[in-house]
Amino acid sequence: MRRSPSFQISTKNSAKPTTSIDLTNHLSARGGLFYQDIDTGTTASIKAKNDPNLLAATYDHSISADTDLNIDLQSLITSELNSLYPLTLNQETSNKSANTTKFIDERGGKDKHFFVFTSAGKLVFSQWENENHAMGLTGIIHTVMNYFNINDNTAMRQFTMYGKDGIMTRFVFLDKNHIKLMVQCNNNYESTAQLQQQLDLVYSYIISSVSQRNLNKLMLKRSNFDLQHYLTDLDQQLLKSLCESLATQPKLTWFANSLECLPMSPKKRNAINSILSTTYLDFNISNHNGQILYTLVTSLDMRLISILRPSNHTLHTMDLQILFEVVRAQLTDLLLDKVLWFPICFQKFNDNGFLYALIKVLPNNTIMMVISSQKNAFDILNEFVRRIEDKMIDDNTCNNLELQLLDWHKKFPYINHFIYKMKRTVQIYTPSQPTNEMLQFYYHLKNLCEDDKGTNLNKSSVAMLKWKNDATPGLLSGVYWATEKFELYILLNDINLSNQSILKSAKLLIQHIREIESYLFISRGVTF
Amino acid sequence: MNSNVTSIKLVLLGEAAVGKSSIVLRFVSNDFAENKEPTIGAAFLTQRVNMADHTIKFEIWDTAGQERFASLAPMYYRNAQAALVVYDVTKPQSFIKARHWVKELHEQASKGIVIALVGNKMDLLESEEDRKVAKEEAEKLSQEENLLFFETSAKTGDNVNEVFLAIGEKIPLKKSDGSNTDGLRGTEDGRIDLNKPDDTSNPNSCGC
Ligand SMILES: Nc1nc2c(ncn2[C@@H]2O[C@H](COP(=O)(O)OP(=O)(O)O)[C@@H](O)[C@H]2O)c(=O)[nH]1
Ligand SMILES: [Mg+2]
Repeated sequence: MRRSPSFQISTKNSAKPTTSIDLTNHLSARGGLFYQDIDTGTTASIKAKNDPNLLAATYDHSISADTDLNIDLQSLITSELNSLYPLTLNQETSNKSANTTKFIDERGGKDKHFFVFTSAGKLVFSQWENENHAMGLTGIIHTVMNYFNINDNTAMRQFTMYGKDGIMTRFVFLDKNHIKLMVQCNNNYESTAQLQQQLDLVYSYIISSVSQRNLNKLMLKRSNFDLQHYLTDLDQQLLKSLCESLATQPKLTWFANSLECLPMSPKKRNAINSILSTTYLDFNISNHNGQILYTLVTSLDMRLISILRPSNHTLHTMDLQILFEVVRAQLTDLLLDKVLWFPICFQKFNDNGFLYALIKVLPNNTIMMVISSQKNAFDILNEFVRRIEDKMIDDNTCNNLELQLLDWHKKFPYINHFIYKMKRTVQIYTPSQPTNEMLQFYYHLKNLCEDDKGTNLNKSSVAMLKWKNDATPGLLSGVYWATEKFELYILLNDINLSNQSILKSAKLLIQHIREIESYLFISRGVTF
Repeated sequence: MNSNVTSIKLVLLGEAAVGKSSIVLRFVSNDFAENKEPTIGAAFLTQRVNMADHTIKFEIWDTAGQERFASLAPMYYRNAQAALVVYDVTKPQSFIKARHWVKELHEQASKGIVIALVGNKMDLLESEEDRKVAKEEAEKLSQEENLLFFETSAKTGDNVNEVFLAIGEKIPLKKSDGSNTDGLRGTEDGRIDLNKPDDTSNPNSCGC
């Protein structure tokens, strides 16, 4: 795939990306997201029949099939899309060139819309208000996706179109068993791989409530099965709020494909760990073998405190992210001392069967989540949690768990914000939740070091960028540093720092984090 | 501390959105939420209520009611001593579903289970036209199936506590004609004699 190698950070103030260096290897800076030239190799420009304005679409795959057919197809898409599309298209820019500084200022609202439909082309979910339009679009996309499937046996990953106002819209796809997902995206800071990752999250959510096995059964029985109405109100609501936050307030844990831990003193964490493991041992002696699969303790905002798990199993990050979304939606009930018990299918763990989750909020403001493979295990799990609760209430160390790391700002006065990810444990630490704007900067940095599929170009790489930003005076610098062990994202708020001193700050920060690692991360969890 | 504590396992069944969780919220917290998020799976909670001279600890299963979770329902009513089968007085479909639940309970739940049929959302009935399930119809079903019957509003709180009190009254009384040495209560209003004997002639009962 060829893309224009140029990328623009700013037009007006011409603050070009300054540096992009690689300590170990060679970093190929990639302008993937910020291309504005249409790749002539894979593009056809067509005058749409009912629209005098020039439209163009670029495909992510080179198309080897018959050219005329392709042009027909493209003109169909572009004209149809254009007749559907203006309702939701952001019209405010008349500037024809893709102006990438704008993404930071102007795309505060919803710049993404998610769609889910079945392999038969039936709409399951859409974020468009107008369902008829959504069905229209679904129909077209479905045809197009099938076209590529049949003709090239390739799954179409994305296509891009430019409206007459110069606004770029991308459509990114994910083709799963019986389900197709699409996101319509007007921003240009998220890569195709990242958008596909988000689609995968949506897909996993659907599987979490239906299970792949059930879905297969339903679809094989009747290929035009109406999945939309099979999903419950609850499913629809959760899907909606999941997609809504993906579009407007993406979570840091999604961005970093990881989980967040509650910073705690190791003494407190150990106290909780040992309560979990002793209670578990007591339980197993009394012949409840195998009923308890996973036990998680989190804070009310779903930061991990402790995990108890079988030594031969780990839980997939995305499965837990979905569990946390479900729990978050039930938090008001949980705070009324309700204990929840529900089936959930962990798509990455085993997409054929359901596990059963017991969720309870304890008086020390922790959430207990216990997962079993047996649907009749509630009483036993409830007793297990009750005993843990008693022990936690008795033990003073189990209160006020969060440790505030107040001094990092003093130690690193230039550092505005950072995210540190420990790769081995797939956990992140950040001193505060980044704003949407910060996340966009982080996306930008990360994309420089990742290939098309979202994997790092090099085992270890560093990228540095400076942005001109109207909101904050002066320049904002960012560093992304990835090795096999960690990923570090930093935003610095001083203009006059040399690259050397920026890197030095980053190194010092890493050193500091290593020193307090045992406070920030769960290094092993408790296994049995 | 009152040491005479009776536990009652109680399950709420009924179509989604008829107001089961709202009834529980009213009973437990005397509160109402206009846009309650739907329950996932089932929620378990306990509530103590002081009756004349002893305490009842309700162990409540508030189920989701969605078809998808239906296979889990037996687990919740299996050991239940009481069930609230809830429908929405403005939704005929929900009454049909309630009939099904009553039938299933008689067939599958423990034999002595006390069932209360509850028509919720009474506050929505500004005129008789808004009503979609006739009171007579529900009363008829209650008599045939030996159910307690109430029309409630979780929103205003009308009749909600009464449902639980009626269940609380009925269950120890029932026990007193069995193995339970229950001279503790019930005699003050002399209603023991009014207690109907168990209706075991239910044709659907498997007798196990
Ligand atoms: N007007 C009115 N609305 C109610 C009443 N009870 C519940 N609701 C509303 O009906 C919806 C569903 O209630 P919920 O308790 O979640 O139903 P459940 O699915 O049976 O648990 C919520 O929006 C409640 O606010 C009631 O008595 N009157
Ligand atoms: Mg409910």
